[in-house]
Amino acid sequence: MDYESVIGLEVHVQLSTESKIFSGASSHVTDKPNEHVDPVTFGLPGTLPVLNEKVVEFALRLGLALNCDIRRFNRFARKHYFYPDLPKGYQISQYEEPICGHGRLQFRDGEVTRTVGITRIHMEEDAGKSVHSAERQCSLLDLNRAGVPLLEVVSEPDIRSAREAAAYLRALRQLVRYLELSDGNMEEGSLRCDANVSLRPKGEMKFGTRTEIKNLNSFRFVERAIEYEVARQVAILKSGEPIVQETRLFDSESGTTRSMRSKEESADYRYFPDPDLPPLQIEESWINAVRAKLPTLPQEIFQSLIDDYGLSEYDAAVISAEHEYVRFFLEAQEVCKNPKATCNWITSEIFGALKQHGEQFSELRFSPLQLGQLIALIDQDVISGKIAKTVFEELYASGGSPNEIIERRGLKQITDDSAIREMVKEALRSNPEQVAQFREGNAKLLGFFVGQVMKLSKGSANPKLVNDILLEELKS
Amino acid sequence: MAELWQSDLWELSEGLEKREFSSKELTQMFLERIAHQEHLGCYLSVFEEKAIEQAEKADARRAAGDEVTKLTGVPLAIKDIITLNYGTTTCGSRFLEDYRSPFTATAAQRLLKAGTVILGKTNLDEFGMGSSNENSAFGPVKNPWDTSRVAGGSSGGSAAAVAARLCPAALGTDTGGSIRQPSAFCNVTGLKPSYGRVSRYGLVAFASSLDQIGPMGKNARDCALISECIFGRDIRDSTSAPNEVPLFSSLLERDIKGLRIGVPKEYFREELSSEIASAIHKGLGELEKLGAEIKEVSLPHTDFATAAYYVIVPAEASSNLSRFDGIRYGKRADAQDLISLYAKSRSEGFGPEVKRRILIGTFVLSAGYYDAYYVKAQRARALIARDFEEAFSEKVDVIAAPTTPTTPFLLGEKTHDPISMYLNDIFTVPVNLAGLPSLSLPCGQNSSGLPIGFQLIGRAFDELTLFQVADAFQKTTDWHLRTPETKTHSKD
Amino acid sequence: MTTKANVENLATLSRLLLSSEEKAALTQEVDAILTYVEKLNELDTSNVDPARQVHGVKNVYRKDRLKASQLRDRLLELAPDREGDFIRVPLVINQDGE
Repeated sequence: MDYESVIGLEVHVQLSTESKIFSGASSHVTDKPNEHVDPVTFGLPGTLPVLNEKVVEFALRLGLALNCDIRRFNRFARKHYFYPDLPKGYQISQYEEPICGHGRLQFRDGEVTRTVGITRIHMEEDAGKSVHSAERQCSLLDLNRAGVPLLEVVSEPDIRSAREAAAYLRALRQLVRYLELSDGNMEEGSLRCDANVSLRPKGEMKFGTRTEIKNLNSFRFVERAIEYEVARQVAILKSGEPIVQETRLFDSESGTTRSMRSKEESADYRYFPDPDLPPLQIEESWINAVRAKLPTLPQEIFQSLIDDYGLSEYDAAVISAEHEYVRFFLEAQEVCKNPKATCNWITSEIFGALKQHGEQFSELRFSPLQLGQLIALIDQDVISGKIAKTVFEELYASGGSPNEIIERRGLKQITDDSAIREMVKEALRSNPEQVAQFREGNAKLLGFFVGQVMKLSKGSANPKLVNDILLEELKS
Repeated sequence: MAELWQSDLWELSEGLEKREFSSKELTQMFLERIAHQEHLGCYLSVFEEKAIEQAEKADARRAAGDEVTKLTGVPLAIKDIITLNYGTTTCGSRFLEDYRSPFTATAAQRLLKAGTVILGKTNLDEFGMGSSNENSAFGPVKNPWDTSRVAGGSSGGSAAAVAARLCPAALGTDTGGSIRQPSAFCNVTGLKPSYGRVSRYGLVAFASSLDQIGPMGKNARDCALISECIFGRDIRDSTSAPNEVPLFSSLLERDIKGLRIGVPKEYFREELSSEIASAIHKGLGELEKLGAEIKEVSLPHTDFATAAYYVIVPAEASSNLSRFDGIRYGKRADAQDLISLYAKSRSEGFGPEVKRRILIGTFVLSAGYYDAYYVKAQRARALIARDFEEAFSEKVDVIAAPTTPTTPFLLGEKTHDPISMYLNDIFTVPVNLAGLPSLSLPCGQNSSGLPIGFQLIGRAFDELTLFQVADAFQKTTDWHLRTPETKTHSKD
Repeated sequence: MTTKANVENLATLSRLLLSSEEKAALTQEVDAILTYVEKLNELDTSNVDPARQVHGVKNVYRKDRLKASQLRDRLLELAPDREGDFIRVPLVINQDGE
């Protein structure tokens, strides 16, 4: 029998706010344990949560970008479980009344465009972290992360393959970065993903028993874990056994998943509305204001790069991957009106240099305007492509105006006919043997003469003129 | 200094203003009285040094001509479930026996800012769970009127301390009657403010949707003075209400002629002792003499209030008390593994009533029972609130009712029967469920001389009318001036 | 005797350790209390929304501003067991968290 995989993802997005969701303690990362703590973070008796407005704004931003319905009247609930890194013995989350529901995410999986439904988005607080030491039989608790705001994005079980799951997650990451509400860094846990996986015979509508896989902290792991889990479930079903509903942990070293706990000891979270937090009534005006400030979204930009700027799908995908690339591209090409060249400069020269120097795009020391000017100078034959690379090296190292660099370093292309003719003549004078050979029919030597002239001009002669004048002089 | 302990806050304030005595002298006098009355169990901690320091500061403030309030230099006590950033905050629990809060509750902070002196922290039922103060891990409070009887609870320490004149007034907290019931039992005047009036920041949460801090004192005008200071929105408590706080102390004088007072027929039921019923009727007669119009009203869902209360309250309590896990603060039991660390710390730290409520609360919130119990109770709560709304919207300005069905019972009398203990709250819990303000004031004594209280219930955020009616009543009656024949006088 | 609630399960869920006497007493008491509160079933609440809160306060926010606490050291001092600035607890066996 052929099986179809049915996959849904639950993604926790850590928000890049200044302060925590319910108190003024810093939500930034620090190496010092228990540094960003206050009485609220510690869950001290008598403390109360006060909601960070930014978290609601971020939830609205993501909800609107994912075409969600905004629940106009929503509120927080307490989710109870005992764990050392959960200070109050409950997590403040949303349960029956999440802020967003019924959305969808459109994204590219290779050549095809896919749409996955978004069940809900809700706001909640993060827990702290523990470091475990088996040999010393203790765990060490750090509450810096406790209370950092999260949005949990729950997808519909619309995903059909491991690869598609990874593509969905990449698209979600791209989106939260576009929206500037999270850095989306999976390795550092700013984006955390759990996958619900089940199988059903092809053509069947009913869902099979699912397992939940945790600990998927890279795109590759998401793909590998789901692949493994699907194969495991296929094997079980083929042997006629039932799937056990359970939570499974992905072990990245072995590439396998293993059972974490069975459902009989499954938690009873005892959700109920949090009496410490008044309900939220989201005003239309707030929704409109957030909507008005939404940036153009990745899918739209991708399409526009193809339709309006003539980029290939491949190039459009590379440029639209990050909002900062898009901004850089658009501003640079505005100056030079050469989108193709702009794209090439970004994807080969800039990315290459960044990789070579181990630097981030955000650290660039020159502006898109300056790149645009550089490209325009090539297009206007002021400099050659080769000289441009020399100019770019300086631009990359320390920024500056390309015009000024060219002036200062005398890199301007020589387009003066007589000056080039002088150099051509000198080149021919110095190489009588080669001239003779050329005239005897060795046409390949033209390149040699071009090289000689370029050397004499220190690379500034216009290559096309050099070529033309050389042919004239050699023939005469 | 003679009989100064009998003075109310207004008189003390005037005496301080006229330099008849200093705050330090006043404070020392109360500290001495407290030391002589330890057997009552009113206080869990007494701040001998800190209180004197605060008194000296208040005296200096006056001497320097700095800005003062009516409360500057006046000593008070606060219930030991309200945090201070010094001393311990035990909540009457073993679990927090040595717990030192690093921050001060907003209500206490406002009192300190006004220049009050905090004498100490008063005894209570563990985390506020109880109606007799017998659930304190540190021993019960004895009723100064009859030390074989309970002082009521959970603010029993505050009530008894005011009654025994071990402080002129105190803060209590009220979740289902915890200010009003001990006030009635000890012949004290106590106010449970409207929900949202006083910041709960620094009040250790018992049942968050009902808890309120309120004043307990010798009379209504003292309660008004304290209310004026501690009321008002606080950014640290999202449930605190933005409603304006009237300057109660200057608005007390009011002719209550024509004021419509409703008497809910459902409160005069078989559980109500006949002596209390007749004291209430006499009290109503006094109000009528003052020109008030007495009308019968109906609060038809009264019978369901206690049941709803004992679902909602344990649910919230079980949740609020989850934080007491022995990890970050409080008692941590010796344990090799985490599960037993939790279970042992909590079991050794909590008393029987707390455990009972945690279990009930856990049950009513658990999967499969949530709708049948918790949601059902919240629906009942809505009906109870609607009863009051309807009574207030057309018929009456204030509702008057007994505070308790009985006078103080004997220590130990009800400890083995939780339900009969719970039923002591039948007249007080509906008010908390509806979030309304309610004031209990002395209105008589039974044949054995035990105090009787009667409560006035107001519209949401209309504490002012309660103060005005109570003040008018106290101007024509002297029940609130009566004090127990305590052993202080005979002893020395 | 069948009871409404399994006190042992509830105790596990709420991390309480009960002696057998406590268990017996609490089983009875919990049962009696639940029987009492089931009085609510006499009430027709089909047309009533559950109370959300009593006083209509809503939309309470704070701005996203840092308010560094001066109390860090006092907070750490409260911890029953520490290792440096970490709080130490017995080894967490089931290391999954939530």
